[in-house]
Amino acid sequence: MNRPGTSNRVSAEQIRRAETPTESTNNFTRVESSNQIRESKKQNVPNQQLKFNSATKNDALQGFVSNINPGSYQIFVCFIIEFVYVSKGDLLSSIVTKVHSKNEKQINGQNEKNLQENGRSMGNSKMFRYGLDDNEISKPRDLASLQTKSARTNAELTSKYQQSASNDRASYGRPHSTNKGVSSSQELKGAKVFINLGKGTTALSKPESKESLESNSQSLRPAPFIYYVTSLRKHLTTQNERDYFCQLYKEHLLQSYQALNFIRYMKPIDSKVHTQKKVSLPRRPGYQGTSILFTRYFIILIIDKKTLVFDLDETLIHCNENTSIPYDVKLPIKFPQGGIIEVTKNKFLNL
Amino acid sequence: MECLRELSQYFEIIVFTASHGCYANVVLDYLDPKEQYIHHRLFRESCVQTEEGVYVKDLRILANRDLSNVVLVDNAAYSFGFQIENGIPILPFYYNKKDQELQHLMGYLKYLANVKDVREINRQTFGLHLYMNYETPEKLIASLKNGTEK
Repeated sequence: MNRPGTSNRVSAEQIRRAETPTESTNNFTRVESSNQIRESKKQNVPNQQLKFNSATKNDALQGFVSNINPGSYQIFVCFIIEFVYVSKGDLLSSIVTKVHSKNEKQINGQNEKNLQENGRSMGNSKMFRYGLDDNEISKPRDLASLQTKSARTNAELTSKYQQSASNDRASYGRPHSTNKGVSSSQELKGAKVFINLGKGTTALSKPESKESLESNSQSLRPAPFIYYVTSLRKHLTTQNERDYFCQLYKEHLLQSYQALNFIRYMKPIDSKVHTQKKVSLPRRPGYQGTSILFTRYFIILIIDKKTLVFDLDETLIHCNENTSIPYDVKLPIKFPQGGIIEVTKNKFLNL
Repeated sequence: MECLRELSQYFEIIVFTASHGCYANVVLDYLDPKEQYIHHRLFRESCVQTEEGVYVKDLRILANRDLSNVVLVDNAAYSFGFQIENGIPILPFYYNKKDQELQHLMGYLKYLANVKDVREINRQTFGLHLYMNYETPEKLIASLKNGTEK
């Protein structure tokens, strides 16, 4: 349980650590944190015990570039992607508006940050989305959470995906809805506490301690849904011979097992072949280059997007030469050796 | 097409097929005529052919891409056999209307868009590298059922 005043001490300690040059935390968080504190000071936030050396933008940029942690890139990318594709307009004004909103919420919501943490630990899955989104950007976040985020390892991120997916099995691709769960102090202090476990809301008649609530939610929380893995395990366990997907999963597992063992004992490919096959694919505008954007409160780094390579047949589409089988589209294919055949294409995608 | 449109906001998208260009280009022209969402196309000639005649999609041919930022979604595991940790398995699609694997995959892909190294996440999630530790598929299945992969 948090004692009164603990959160302020924690914040002060973390801010001091963030300002120490030898600290391994990334500089983005540091810059962001100092900006937030400066802004808090301007608006007379009751956080006066924190002393900050206000850094200039140049200082911040130098530190940022010289000691950058690649993990922090992703945070920047998230911001940028969201801003660019959500606002679709004036990027800077959009950023400034969102930052204003964020700061206001942060100032007004300082007393609620512990409650937010409670909400996270009690199965409020929407706290853990797959990446930063509008909701997350606009949520008040304390400095501790910012630093924690910047220091996450990939292993932690994996568990985050699994946690976030736990209540989202059927919600992939659906609009994001805010799940308030235990997010307000009134609800926590009141006679009833609501815990959202993904299958409805449970009302507890008595106020319970945070620990007991956590244990309750842990025991009732459904197993996390992980793409491919959960379905595979489910179908291997149920062994429903009539089920199409059950059979397909088992077949696919066997094929994957054989293929990977086959590759394992294969001769390595000659390096000359690699050299011959190499292709240098140019990046499209918007998908390339590193650039830095200055705003009033943020320094934003834009980096290359990741590359997603898709197979075509039996991954995106299914083609058939037999036109007697039901199809969505019929396309003529001309072969260089001569001759034209018509293939029917069954779409995986909704066109 | 909705999936590709949405994913193209998070990723640069390449279609890499072991089929011939004369066939794949027609299909891809139909799917994405303006080449808005599929940024590059790679065909059979870009695959590496083994002595046994198998076409493997060796991602090392991508000269100016860091493999920590590249994933390959393929229903055939041998396609990413040289870079298992870059591979994302998917059930083969045989025109079953109830097949929603791609929709499920999107959640995972969006998550991957923000990680430092996709290989580590794939490794921890799918554990494909562990498949080779089992002498028989039956042992692998038993282990997967119990959740005791080694």
